[in-house]
Amino acid sequence: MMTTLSQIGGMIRYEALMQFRRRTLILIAAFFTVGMIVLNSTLLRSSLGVVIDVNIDGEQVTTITRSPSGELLSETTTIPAGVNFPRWLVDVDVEMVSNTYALLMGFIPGLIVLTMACLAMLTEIIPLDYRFKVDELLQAAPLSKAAYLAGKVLSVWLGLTLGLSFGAVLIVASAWVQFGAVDLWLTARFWVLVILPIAFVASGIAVLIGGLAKTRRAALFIGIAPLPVIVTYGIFLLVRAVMANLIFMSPNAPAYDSYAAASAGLISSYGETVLTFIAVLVAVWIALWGVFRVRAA
Amino acid sequence: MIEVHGLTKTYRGGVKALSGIDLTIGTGMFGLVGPNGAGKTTLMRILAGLLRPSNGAARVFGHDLATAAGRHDAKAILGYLPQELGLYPNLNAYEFLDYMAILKGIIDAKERRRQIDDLLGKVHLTDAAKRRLKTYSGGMKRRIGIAQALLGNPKLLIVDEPTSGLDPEERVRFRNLLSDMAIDRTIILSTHIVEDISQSCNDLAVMKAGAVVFRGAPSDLIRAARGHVWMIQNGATRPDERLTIVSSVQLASGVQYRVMGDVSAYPNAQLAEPTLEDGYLFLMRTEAGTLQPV
Repeated sequence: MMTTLSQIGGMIRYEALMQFRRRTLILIAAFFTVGMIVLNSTLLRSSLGVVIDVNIDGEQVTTITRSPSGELLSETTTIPAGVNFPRWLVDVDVEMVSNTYALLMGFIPGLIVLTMACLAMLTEIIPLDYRFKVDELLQAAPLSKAAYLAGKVLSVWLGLTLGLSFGAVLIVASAWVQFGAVDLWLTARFWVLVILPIAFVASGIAVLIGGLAKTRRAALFIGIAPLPVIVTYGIFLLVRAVMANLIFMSPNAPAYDSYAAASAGLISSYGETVLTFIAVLVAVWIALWGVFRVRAA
Repeated sequence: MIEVHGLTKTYRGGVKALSGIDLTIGTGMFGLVGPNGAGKTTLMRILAGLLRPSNGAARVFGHDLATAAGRHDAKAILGYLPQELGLYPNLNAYEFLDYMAILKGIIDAKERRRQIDDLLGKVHLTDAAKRRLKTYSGGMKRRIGIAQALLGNPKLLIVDEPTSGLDPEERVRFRNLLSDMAIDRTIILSTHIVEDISQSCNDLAVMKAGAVVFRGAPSDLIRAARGHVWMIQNGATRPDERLTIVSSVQLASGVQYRVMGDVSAYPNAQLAEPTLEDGYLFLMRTEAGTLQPV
């Protein structure tokens, strides 16, 4: 057991080092980070104003919005019957909540692009062993197939965690400068419970299905092939998680009674989607392990 | 001790690489020679646990290669240098050897460092240890391959064409290194360079078409060719086509040929003392039916 853990630890260390030197993971993290900063600074702020205060008087709601040009706009509306208006908004710093949700909403197209980048760029991890002709050396070592696959996947996860965490600091700092204060606790939870798991699942699947190929070109094809499914699923995730949570005044919006409950609801609605991805990762892992065993025979 | 009984390997498509090999290999240097396609690499890949035989049994120091546990245990005492050696170009020599040592199960970092420093010294690469492997020459890469095979002080060392790509000085150094290590372990050396076998092995097998056609000491193979190797000088014309030309040397008075076969048409032919290469060629020609013992 100690030997196996040591082998996996060694693989993580040296595979991550090689990936760092090949720049692949740096490119993915940089692509994601720059894309998010550009997206935040252009699309969202140019099209959305910021709600900075909400007052409720019976069924009348008055919202004060700062337009992208800085103008303050006051609007009073009547809550339609059957609509779950988020009454918890009156007790919180609405501007901060608005900034935070705008930031998190921006992550959704970013996550789809991140998933696509992982699938296109990380399928080569196992085929590179064939290209470098080190596969025989690895097979001649007392290293189990499960430990080999674990080492490969975990090394990518380590690299992505470091790269995306560094990117997260830059993205949040950039949002803070552009938007104003954001809820760091909610953003951190979103990062740990949504973004990293999706990056892990996408990269894990990419590394494992890439193992079916023996050349980088074939691996790239295998990685690109499921992209339409991923994009479709990403859009589904966008509709499901965002529409239900961010469009507060919607008949389908959950009736949360506090900001904490609303935040938890946002995370959990993503979490259910992430769980299905994790199930796919486990299935791919088992299938690939089986394929490698059959190949060894 | 390596024991192989009735080992057969048939690849998909029906290509039979091994047909019923029986071998017992003890401690020391064991040479494996044969032409391309003889089945040497297939046999060594089975012994290294990389391939499973179609039929037959193989045991490496008591570990049954038919079982997953047996293969795992056999790999733990194995050093392997494949014919087509690849290295990670983005690692330096020290990092690569450290990675391989970890995969071989050497957990203790100090012990890994000690072994790596020692092996880098043995293959004369200490000064280049921090250079990326992509900057290495072919010979340097080969030496790193040899060093990784020796990590963990393996009881069984399988080396496939280890001296290809090495200059003459490196070849001699490597042969000596293997000979030094053969004292208390089994080393299986597969090569096309018969001289490597003659200089270092006390036991050898010759393979052809998936079968062992000779098994014994190098001196036995040499003895078989005794009386069949001749030196003839033949002016500018090539000798009779029925003769097997082993080598030719351009002299001032013509060309001197080293040949095998019926030299009755050459009254000036002089009997020569055979080498291991002569013995190997004699065996191959005899097996092929192109040369009848005189």
